[in-house]
Amino acid sequence: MRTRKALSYPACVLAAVIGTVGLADTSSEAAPSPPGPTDDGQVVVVPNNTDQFGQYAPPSIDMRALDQRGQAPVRPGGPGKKSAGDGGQDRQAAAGSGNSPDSQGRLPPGCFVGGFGAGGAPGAGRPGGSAFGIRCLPPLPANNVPVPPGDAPAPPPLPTPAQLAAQAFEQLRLPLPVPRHSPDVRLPDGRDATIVGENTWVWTDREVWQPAVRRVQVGPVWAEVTATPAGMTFDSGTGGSASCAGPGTPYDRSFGLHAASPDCGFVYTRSSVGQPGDQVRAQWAIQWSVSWVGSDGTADVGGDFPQMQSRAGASFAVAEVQALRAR
Amino acid sequence: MNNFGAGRQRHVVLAAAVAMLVAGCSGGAAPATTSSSNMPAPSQPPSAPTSSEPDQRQAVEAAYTQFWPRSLAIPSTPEATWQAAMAKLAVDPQLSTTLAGMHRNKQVGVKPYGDVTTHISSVEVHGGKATVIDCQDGSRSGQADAATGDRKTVGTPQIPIHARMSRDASDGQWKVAELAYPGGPC
Repeated sequence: MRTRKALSYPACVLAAVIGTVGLADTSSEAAPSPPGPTDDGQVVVVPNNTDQFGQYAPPSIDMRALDQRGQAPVRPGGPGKKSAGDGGQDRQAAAGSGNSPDSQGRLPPGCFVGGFGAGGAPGAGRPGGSAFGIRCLPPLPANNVPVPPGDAPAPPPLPTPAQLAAQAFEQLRLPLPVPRHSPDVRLPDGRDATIVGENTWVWTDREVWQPAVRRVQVGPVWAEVTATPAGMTFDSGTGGSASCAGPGTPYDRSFGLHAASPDCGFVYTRSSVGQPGDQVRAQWAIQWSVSWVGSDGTADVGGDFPQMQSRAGASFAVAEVQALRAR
Repeated sequence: MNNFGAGRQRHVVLAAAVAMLVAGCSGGAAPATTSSSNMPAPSQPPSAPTSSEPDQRQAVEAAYTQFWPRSLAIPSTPEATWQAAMAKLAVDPQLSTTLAGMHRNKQVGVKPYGDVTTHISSVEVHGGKATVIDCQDGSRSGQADAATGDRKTVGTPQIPIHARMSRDASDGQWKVAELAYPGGPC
């Protein structure tokens, strides 16, 4: 949905104008439409420390406890809150060969690195968002286990909390960022644009910046996976990027006309002419720290999953303008 | 998703002199775009031991550049032909790694799509070994559902890749011996 303020200019100005641009408050904006099904924002962005095809680098990941199919990584010492020194374990899924591949545990058979679990409803035929992580196929049934004659088959054993955590992890749906930027102007041909040399503020709607939780329980055994937004990156689509600690700050006129964003901004130094469609394709990506807690009915356990990300993109022009101020 | 500047209450006039500059790609040599589906298979330049160093560098660069479209096309061919096809492009450990990855992808129902663009910044040749430093544009490629073609993943525009190349004594061709993805900026 778009809104646009009607502007009026003196005729002498309008004669030279090929387009007008009005800048309005975001506070009056309606919520954006979700990405369409063909929006490539639903495709998972693979980190650049791995192979986007999944066939050139051996899948390896720092998941020392992931030694059983479908099992979540267990944090030594139980589910307590991570100390600051544990930050290194909360890493993004990586499939690159790396410098010391032997120091990284390989994914077990049946597990692979890929995208899943972002946006949309669980079980939807097509994921509504994008996230990157690992997925493990469920354990195969033991078909050839003999059953003693006359004995009823033993009830299936309860899953472990780690197994339930792996299920919950797969069912988790991460909110997608809602791309916002300012300036966000409309060119005469209808394209959205920001402006060369201007401080472009970048943010996402705050409503997506909250933990996502998924819980799975079987009998007394349960596990709850929590993904917490840890940061956001903005890929300008021109090679530059910005890393932001939070969701960014929505622009408001009270900040001043040319003020830089206090926490998430970018300055385009060139126009987008020459890019496909004379536009850039920018990406907003939220990084999520994912941990889990659970219990087998007697003791609490927990652990950390690799960091995940959800992302969404927006195409817009970067226009170089000569600005005339109307009275 | 249009907020019109979010409160920058100014009236901006886009005059007829709206000038847009061509945004260039920073750094590196001229990029080489590859295609996994439509690219013909040019013959690899010969790399005789008597070739000069510039010739060797050119041969290494050509072998590395052609590795991508050719290897990306292999999963679309019969599985029984993968080993022989990949052996023309890579030697171990990359040969085994790639074949294992292809089989793994097939098992889970994904295959590669798209093409990549290499931005080679360095080629060093030492006898029968060479290294290539690349900043690959993988933003038009990734994994797709093998059945539906729906895209599942996509790479980033700047993927640092360090390739170790080796000249295969059996046929004299430069081949990829190992690909490393160190991450970080290019």
